[in-house]
Amino acid sequence: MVKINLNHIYKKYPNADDYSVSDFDLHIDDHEFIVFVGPSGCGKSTTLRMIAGLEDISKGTLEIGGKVMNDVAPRDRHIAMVFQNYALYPHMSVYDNMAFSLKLRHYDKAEIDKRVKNAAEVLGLAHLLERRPADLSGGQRQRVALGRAIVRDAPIFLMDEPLSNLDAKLRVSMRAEIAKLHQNLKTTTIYVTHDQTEAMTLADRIVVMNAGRIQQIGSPKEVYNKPANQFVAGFIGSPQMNFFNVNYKDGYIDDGKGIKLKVPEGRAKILESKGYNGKDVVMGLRPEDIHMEQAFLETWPEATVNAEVVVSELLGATSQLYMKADGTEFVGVVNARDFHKPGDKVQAGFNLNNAHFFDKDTQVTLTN
Amino acid sequence: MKSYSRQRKVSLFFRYFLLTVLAIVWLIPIVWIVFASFSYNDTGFISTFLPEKWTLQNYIGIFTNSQFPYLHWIINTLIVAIISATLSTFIQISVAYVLSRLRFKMRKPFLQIALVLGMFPGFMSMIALYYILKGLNMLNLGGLILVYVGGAGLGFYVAKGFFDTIPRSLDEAAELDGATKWQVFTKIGLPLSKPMIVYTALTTFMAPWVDFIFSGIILSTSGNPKTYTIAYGLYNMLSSSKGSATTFFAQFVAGCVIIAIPITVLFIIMQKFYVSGITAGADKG
Repeated sequence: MVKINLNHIYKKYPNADDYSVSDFDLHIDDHEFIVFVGPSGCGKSTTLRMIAGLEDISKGTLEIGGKVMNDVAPRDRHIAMVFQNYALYPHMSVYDNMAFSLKLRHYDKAEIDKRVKNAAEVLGLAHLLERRPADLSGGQRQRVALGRAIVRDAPIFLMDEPLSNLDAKLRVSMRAEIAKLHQNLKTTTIYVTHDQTEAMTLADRIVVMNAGRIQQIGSPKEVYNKPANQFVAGFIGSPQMNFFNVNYKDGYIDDGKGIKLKVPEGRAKILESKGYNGKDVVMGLRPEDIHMEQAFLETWPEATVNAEVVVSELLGATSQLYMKADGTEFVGVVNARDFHKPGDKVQAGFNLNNAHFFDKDTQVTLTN
Repeated sequence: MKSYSRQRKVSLFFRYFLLTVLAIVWLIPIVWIVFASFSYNDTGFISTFLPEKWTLQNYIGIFTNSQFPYLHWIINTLIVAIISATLSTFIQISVAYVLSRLRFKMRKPFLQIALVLGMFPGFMSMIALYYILKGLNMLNLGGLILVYVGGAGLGFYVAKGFFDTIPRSLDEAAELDGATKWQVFTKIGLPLSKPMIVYTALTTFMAPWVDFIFSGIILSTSGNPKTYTIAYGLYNMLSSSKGSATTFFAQFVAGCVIIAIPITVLFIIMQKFYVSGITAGADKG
């Protein structure tokens, strides 16, 4: 059993004024697949490197399997890591790359051979063992990097944006392979990415970070459906959630620029009970909660907006429509049947049952 | 309007033309000296480009010359060059690796001081060095080695630039794989630095091999030609024979050709190591 506890961890670089990571508090269970996600520079890689021991921890304690690890050398933490640029040893063959750590740990030859060949089999590298990294394609190099982690049988895998150097198609297939690998090996994994699709598809729990702080920890479903604040709501989901600066009054919202809608009773009650009647709030609505089917428009006439299509993108099964209602722009993902050309006048139905409301100043969610 | 392919051909022609001219300018003195070394003459003057009469006499002469012990010079120079190349390479590579890979307090100031010191020509220190070595009673080959090796640490810039290009994530990966800092250096750093080590070894070998200034200052006081190195010895052949400088001129030329041989051979053997593409594939590509 390997549990990882990060207790109120802080990181400050020498010569820096501010903390790069602040009050990072997370408890990771055995076999869990955790994904750190956030924009560039949010501290997710720094946190990962602190767990690996490649960066010092300024404040707080890191426990792995119940032992404090703050002052333990990277090689004694029993962690395997996959780097963004693969970090394969260019002067060694694929076989030697994978065998390197086992040789350093003085495993006997037969055991090394068995493990390397097993890993190569699993990853489809068996025919490449004699090659040098320079002779491999990007996807193959990535697989060798994974293989190097697998042979160690380490209880913890760290992955630092392992797919970001691959092309889009390969990324999708490698993503599936990583998921499969985790299902088979059940190794506790911490995975860093700025790609929210990777986060949503791979994670047991997602840790959303921004500016060095945890914004929310939760399952992909929780993070998507119940974002803790406006940042999380905006970061998770593609295209991004639409945000409207509106004024709430007596069951209606109005942004003064073409959007005036009735708020469903449940949501209205929450807003009023929290004292937001007559106040400015931010309303968030995901693109897929904007509808154009006739049935929706007829059922909810009070939730429709007259808009004009500005840009339209047909994606096959769906189409993305960037629309404008007076001064307010928003994007909707609708069925491909409801595709419209730029310039078309359309009616857009807002499913406010799924709307999120945020405090204008603190950006905290009001309606979870 | 001229066609583009014609324009390209013309510019290509001029490029090759210029390179050919430069190559000829570079090669003429070398070719001349090689021809001159095979040229028979008894006046000391070599007046034709191609020898009028071919001979090996100059080569035989320089090895059998009783006044100037050419073989001693070669041995002396080899000893000095090999010892100082070995020590200098080790020092230079170590300094470069440390400055590239480790972070410590005085690193930045050290880099700056080294840069400033590097701006002064080495021979500025010759008078001081002479007196220091004289005081230490080291006006001999040992002192010469000390001078060459002593400055090696400052020549780290090229090697540091090379180490900087090896991704740090390789070191980190090796550390996580279980390597100590020393193992990272020996198993990752050094194997990847082969081209750099060869380059450093070559340059630190060549410097003593052809150096005239320091060997002249340090070895001249002994007055014993057997202790000279090649460059200073050859210079002596012309300068100390006073009015009869021409007597040994042909032998001098032969001596010059001989000292070029080891360097040429070294370069031919080592040039394949110059390929720096060895780190290709470590990163995305």
